[in-house]
Amino acid sequence: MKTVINYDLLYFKKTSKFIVFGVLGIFLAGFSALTAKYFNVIIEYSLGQEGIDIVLPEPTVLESYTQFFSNFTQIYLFVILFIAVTFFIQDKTRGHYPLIFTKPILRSHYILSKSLVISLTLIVSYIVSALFFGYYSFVLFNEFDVGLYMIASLAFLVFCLVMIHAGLFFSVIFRSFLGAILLPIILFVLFGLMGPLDGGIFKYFPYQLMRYPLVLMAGEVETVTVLLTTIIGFLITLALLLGSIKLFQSKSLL
Amino acid sequence: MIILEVKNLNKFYGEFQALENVNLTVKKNEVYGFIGRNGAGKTTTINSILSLIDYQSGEVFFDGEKVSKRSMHDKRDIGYVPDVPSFPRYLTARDFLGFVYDTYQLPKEDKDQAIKTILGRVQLEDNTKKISGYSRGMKQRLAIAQALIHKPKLLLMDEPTSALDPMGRKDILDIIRELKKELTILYSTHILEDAQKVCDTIGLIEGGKMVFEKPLKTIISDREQAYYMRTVEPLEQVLRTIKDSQLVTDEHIYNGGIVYTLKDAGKTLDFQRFLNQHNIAITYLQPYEKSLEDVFVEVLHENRH
Repeated sequence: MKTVINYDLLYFKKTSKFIVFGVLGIFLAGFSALTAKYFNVIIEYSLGQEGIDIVLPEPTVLESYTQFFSNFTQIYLFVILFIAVTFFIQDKTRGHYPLIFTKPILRSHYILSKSLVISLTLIVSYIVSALFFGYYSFVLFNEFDVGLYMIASLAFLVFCLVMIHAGLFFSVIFRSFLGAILLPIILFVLFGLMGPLDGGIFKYFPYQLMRYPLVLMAGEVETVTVLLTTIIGFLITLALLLGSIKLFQSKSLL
Repeated sequence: MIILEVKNLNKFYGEFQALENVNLTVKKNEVYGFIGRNGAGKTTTINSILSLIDYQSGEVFFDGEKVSKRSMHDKRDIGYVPDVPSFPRYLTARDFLGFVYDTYQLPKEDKDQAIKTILGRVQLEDNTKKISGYSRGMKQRLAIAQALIHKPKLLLMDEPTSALDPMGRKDILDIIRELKKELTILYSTHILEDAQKVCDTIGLIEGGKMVFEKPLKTIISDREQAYYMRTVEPLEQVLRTIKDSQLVTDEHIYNGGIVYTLKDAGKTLDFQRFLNQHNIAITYLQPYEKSLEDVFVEVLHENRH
């Protein structure tokens, strides 16, 4: 298992993907806080140049949270998903399987390693970005709800894990990158469309994790609901992982 | 002593039967030439042995133990060289060999030396560039290195020379000749000249079925004696005439003369009489040593009829 993990880590190290994760996260974190703080000022200034005097309200830290989670859901998650699916499927599409699976490597270890390496990379890079954002937001707005932000971040991370493991599952099923990436994207769009469907049991469906970080920070949803949905999302991640392993073990490699 | 045994292997791709009751036996310390045309079933058989693909029925035994998708004993003692090896492009040869070495859980302290030695053996020791910059020949040599790093008992080589230029082919054959001294090799190829140079036993597969499995020496000596003759008369004309005699078979023009085999070895005098009657003057006659390629063509011809 350790050997396969080292092999997977080598991919991130040699292709500089670690840097992509980190730089993108930190950039989006800083950019989110800055745009939240100064966007209104920029608009006022631009309109003033045109002779229109308008006074926009002073931005609050809530706008900073909104910027952060919107950017991370719409940009960061997509980039991570593309990198993850490439990482999962490239040994198959580039014909590396014959040289890998003629070695004493268990197929279950192979899939577990992929899941572990991408999840850890995601978590570490997100934590670094989130800390940077938290600090920067506090500096700019003089307030920051650490507790709520941690829960919202947890919900977002689990949503990322669900999407990434959907990518893993489809990478096991499909033989091409396109097939493996298209379905998670379709899933993402569907999740977005299903957002308003939040009554009764639907509020615990993992697609809610896409918008819960935002609505939680705005105080529009109960923390318990978010935590329960997060746990359900985590269980779905595990189910997707186990499903991927089972499927991979039963399939012909070539 | 048998090291690899394949029993009644059947593989279907949908309706198409790629392998039909394939049986194959490789003895220790021999080079087994697994020959056949492109698409005959060589790679499918090898992929089945390595559990890279599933098969519908049949069994594979390595060193007396049954091989399955989840068995590890075979993977620890088999080295595999694919026809067109594909490596992660972002790695160097050392990176990749380091990974392969670790999969066998060999002593850490010997790792660097083992990598250095094996790279030296395939003449890649001074190479520090990424694999993406390698030529086909270099990749093939690296494929051999990764297959040997754990000192396997059996080396499976699936058409290792098929995509190489003459120099690359020569390099690989030289390496096989060296390896022959110390391990068992199953060498799949459709280049019969190569097989004849290095193999002890030949297994011929055609249309997913094994045609024969014999020592190389007996394959050639078992065939009817062929002759090579040169004549005064034009070769095309002589060829047409002797064809009509009904006394010869496998007659063809070769290297300024005609190669033929008598249908009945006892009818030498009859054939000479026939030539005299048709005023064909022989200027040169000698027994012709058949190549594996001649035998291959003959056997496939016989099989078709």
